Amino acid sequence: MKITALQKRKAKRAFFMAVMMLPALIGFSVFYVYVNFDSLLMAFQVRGKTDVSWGMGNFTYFFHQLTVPDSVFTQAIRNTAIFFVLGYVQLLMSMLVAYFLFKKIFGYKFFRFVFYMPCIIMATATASLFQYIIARSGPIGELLKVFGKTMPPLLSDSAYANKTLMFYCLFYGVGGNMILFLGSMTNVSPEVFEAARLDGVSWFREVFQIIVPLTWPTLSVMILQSVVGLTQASGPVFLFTQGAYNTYTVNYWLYEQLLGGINLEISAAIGWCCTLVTFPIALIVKRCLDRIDERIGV
Amino acid sequence: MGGKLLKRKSASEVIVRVIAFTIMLVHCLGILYVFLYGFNASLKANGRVFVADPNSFAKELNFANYVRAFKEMRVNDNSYFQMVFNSVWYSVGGTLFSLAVAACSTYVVARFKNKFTRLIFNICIFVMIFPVVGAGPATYRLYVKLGITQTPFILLSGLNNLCHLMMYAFFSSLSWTYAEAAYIDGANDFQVFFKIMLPMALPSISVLFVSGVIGAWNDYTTPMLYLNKSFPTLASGIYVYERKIQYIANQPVYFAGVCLAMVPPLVLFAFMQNTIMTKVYFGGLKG
Repeated sequence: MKITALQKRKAKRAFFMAVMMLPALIGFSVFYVYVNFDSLLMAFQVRGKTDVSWGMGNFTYFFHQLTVPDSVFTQAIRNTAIFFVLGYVQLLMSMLVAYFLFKKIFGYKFFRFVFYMPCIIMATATASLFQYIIARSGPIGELLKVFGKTMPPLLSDSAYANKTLMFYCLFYGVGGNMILFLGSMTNVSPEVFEAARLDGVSWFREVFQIIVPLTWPTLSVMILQSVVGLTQASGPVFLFTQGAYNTYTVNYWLYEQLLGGINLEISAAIGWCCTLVTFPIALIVKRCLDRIDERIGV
Repeated sequence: MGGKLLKRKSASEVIVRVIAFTIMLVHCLGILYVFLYGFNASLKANGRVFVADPNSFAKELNFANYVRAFKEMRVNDNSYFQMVFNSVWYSVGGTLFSLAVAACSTYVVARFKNKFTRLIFNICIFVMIFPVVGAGPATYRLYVKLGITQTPFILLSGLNNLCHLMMYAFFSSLSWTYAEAAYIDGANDFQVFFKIMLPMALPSISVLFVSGVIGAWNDYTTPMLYLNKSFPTLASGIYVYERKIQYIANQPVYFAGVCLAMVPPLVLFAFMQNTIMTKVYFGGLKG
């Protein structure tokens, strides 16, 4: 049998594709397929004192803990829900800031840079400096002293710790989404706004009837991403309190186990529970978002 | 005439703008203050001066603290200089490796449409949407099994980059005419990719590179888990230095180290600011 030129070319093309994709395919099969398969197995491996047996032990442990009031897990789930909702407050703030930057408010270049700074500077550094600012001897504490008050221990008291983390999130977390909104607003053709202005559209209507619909694709992706990350919502727990003072979140609890290399099987089981909870919700939200996409016609 | 009409703002809009400006100014000064506080503290003479009056202006400019940070900030037997080096290879090397792997495979997926590449593309979309939470422990176990924890080989995890969706968009939008001309001249697939298509995509990929480097430079979660004991990066090192060393005797030197660690991403960003601001809408730029 003779090899035709066409077959030769096809073989060469196949060789090219194989060589180019091989590293990524190996990586994907090892670091995604194998890992997730192994993770599924792990969820059903119950670690005894010396041996490992198979069963539902990790899951029953988790569900039992959920019924215990004030266990780490009930606390973690509550905090995760709080930070999930906080994510939307953050989204709204980012959108507002992006709108005014887009409108070229006085000093917008300065604002743009400063709001984005916490995304460029390492969080460990920012968090470390922030702790000095809110310490009792810090500048705010000193200011309060003038008024005869003392600074409460914001990071080492259950009454304040979570609120401090939430504040930190909102205060330093505007930049990331702001850039994405700004990018999508800049992409709206300026003629649209000019035409609207000439028709006497007020700025209020401009926001809700032009900007929101035209930047909807970005918003929709962000909403979906946040729903997909539903159970991973977390504040900077690791940077500030390491879970002390009622600040555990699901995400941080899992990370802490990894850091210590302990309870890996239970973590895997909890991870799968989270996945199973999130998946149907993510699907439903995606369906809804797609429907809105169709309505708006983008 | 028309220009004036367009520029005129209604009274309510002016009021809203003034309010927004004020709020944003206060917010921004609050953000900046934290960094300026650190810079100011890094210039103070020594720990005693700092503790006695932490919030005042530095009386003299002790830039020598920045030199001392290199000598004195040690984490897990790594000097500050070694941590800088670790951060460089972790961020630059890791991003380059991961992007190189992604560029090769994404190019094939974007440019050679057949059943197989379409399947790969759909898998990538699925992976993006399907929220896998439980992979951490299994990844940990795998890394330990492979023996790549606490070694630079941890960067091998960058292989897991089958189809980069932004790169997919770049490659799909590139003109195919040069490639066709090259094929007619007898070039093979490898030559077309490395000599024509990749150079054309480089400006766009460089944005991914810069944002990737900034992200990895600042990343502390992965280095804390897999590198910190033998190769602490600046991001994880600063954290450990602050936590584990119970009493920082010389805070100004520590602040100097913290300030230094912020410089490289800021410089990178300053150079690429306009490109990053306009080109990235759906990026992994979030810190």
